[in-house]
Amino acid sequence: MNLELFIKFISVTLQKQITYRFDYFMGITNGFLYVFIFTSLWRALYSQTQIQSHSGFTLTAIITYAVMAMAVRIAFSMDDSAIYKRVQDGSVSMDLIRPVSFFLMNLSQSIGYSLFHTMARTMPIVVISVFLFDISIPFDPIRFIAFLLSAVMGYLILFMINFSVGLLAFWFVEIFPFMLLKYGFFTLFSGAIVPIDFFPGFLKVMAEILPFQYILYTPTVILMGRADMTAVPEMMAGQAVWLILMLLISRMMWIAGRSKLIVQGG
Amino acid sequence: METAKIYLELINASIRARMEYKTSFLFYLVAILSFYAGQIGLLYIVLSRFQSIQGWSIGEVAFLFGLMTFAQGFTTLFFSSLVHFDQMIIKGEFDRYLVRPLSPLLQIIFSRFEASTAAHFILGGAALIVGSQMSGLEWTFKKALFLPLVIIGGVMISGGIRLLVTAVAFWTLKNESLVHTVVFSSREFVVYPVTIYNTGVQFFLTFVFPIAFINFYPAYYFLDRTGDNLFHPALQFGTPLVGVVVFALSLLAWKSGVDHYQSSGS
Repeated sequence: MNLELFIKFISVTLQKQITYRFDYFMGITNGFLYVFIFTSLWRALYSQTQIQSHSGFTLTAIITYAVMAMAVRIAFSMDDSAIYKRVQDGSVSMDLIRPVSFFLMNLSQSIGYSLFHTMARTMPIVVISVFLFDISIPFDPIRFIAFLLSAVMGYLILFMINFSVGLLAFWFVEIFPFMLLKYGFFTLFSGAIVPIDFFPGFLKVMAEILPFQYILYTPTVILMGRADMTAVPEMMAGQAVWLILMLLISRMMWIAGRSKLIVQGG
Repeated sequence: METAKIYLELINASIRARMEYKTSFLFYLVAILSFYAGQIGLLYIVLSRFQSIQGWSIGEVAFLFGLMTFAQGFTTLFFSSLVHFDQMIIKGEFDRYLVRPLSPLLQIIFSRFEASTAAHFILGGAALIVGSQMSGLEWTFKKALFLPLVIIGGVMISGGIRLLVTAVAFWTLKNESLVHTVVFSSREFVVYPVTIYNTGVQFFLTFVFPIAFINFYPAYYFLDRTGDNLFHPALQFGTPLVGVVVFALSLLAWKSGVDHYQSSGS
């Protein structure tokens, strides 16, 4: 698939998103609502003890984490039902005869979708939050580059998880339960709301086994300076391992699903 | 009498339609429970670290969660078919309900029963029992009488809000994101005791968008709490009244929506 086509897909999806202005407004409200709830929660929790720092997070650090994790999460907005809809209504068979890769086509559409949410929702929420809350992010270009790299890997991991769950539609009539399951795991283990550092024993072990922490937690702690620069390469290596694993899984599932489609006479 | 029989037949049909897929039903149940397990896990992590949220112990927070979730069971039971109401309007399916000699609202309500209902009852019931055990809640005759009133009031509040937001579709046609924000995200506000928010937001959740009455104020009474700053102590008993008011208002909005309705023509 050539780059020009890839970018064309991105821009078409982006334009589609912009047409829904009211949805856009509600989207910001929604995101900000969550930021507000969680910063209020942390402030209440920190005000009830004399201890300044919990699991290495001061109040400023945990507020920064809450805002930034939410910002990244919103930037990573994806239409996670896009793939299963194509499989379910059979339009995937049309995609098969197109001279472009199904995976890359969906990835580019997903990027267009996410770029819109980054510009239209993440940016305003970050700007408002910087004025409203006590946020501190170290100014360090190398750290920022590391963050961008880590965010891209986190994004790809999330995309491939969604892609694989969507492909389950080749085998199951209803995949909404799978999506709920995925969402439950994601909420808890991605560190979207509570950073992994706070997790007690067994939950922490689970968080470290699962891929979800690499989606939000890793880029966020790199950005906010919570992760030591010397520890960053190891964290990114963990991301790279899951990136390759998910690539293999989604590739295998796609091949298996596609042959099932052909067997059925698709 | 004849009308009641028709409604019973409608309920019967929608339950039979659901049970058609028994394994899918069970799978759904498990998936929804695991979806909530994510949220409960986060509460557990936070509470095992900080012991309490604004003086509310783990048992008391569980009781809050139980009241909300149990009421939500009834709300999804009766009102879940409203979530996709904007699609009914856009596709012109609503016209079908209008030509039948039955109440359009009741037809929609009885047209579909959501499997997630059972999960809410299981989870909410368990949280209520565990919560009242852990917090050493003393049940009196008066409290036992008040509990069903609180549940009914809570259902009228959250159901009324759903109906109100749904009615907006009569004017705007598309209102998916509004439904999403108001119905689902706002729920997050009352997972925690509302005293964690600033006074303005507490006022909002009490008098403008009164979801604090679903669990916070009644829990205050059931748990014999003192010390939190309520706007007025009488609010503890306000749930049934607020429920009636919210529901009456939303019925008015729905009625004027139906009167305003002109088919989309598709």
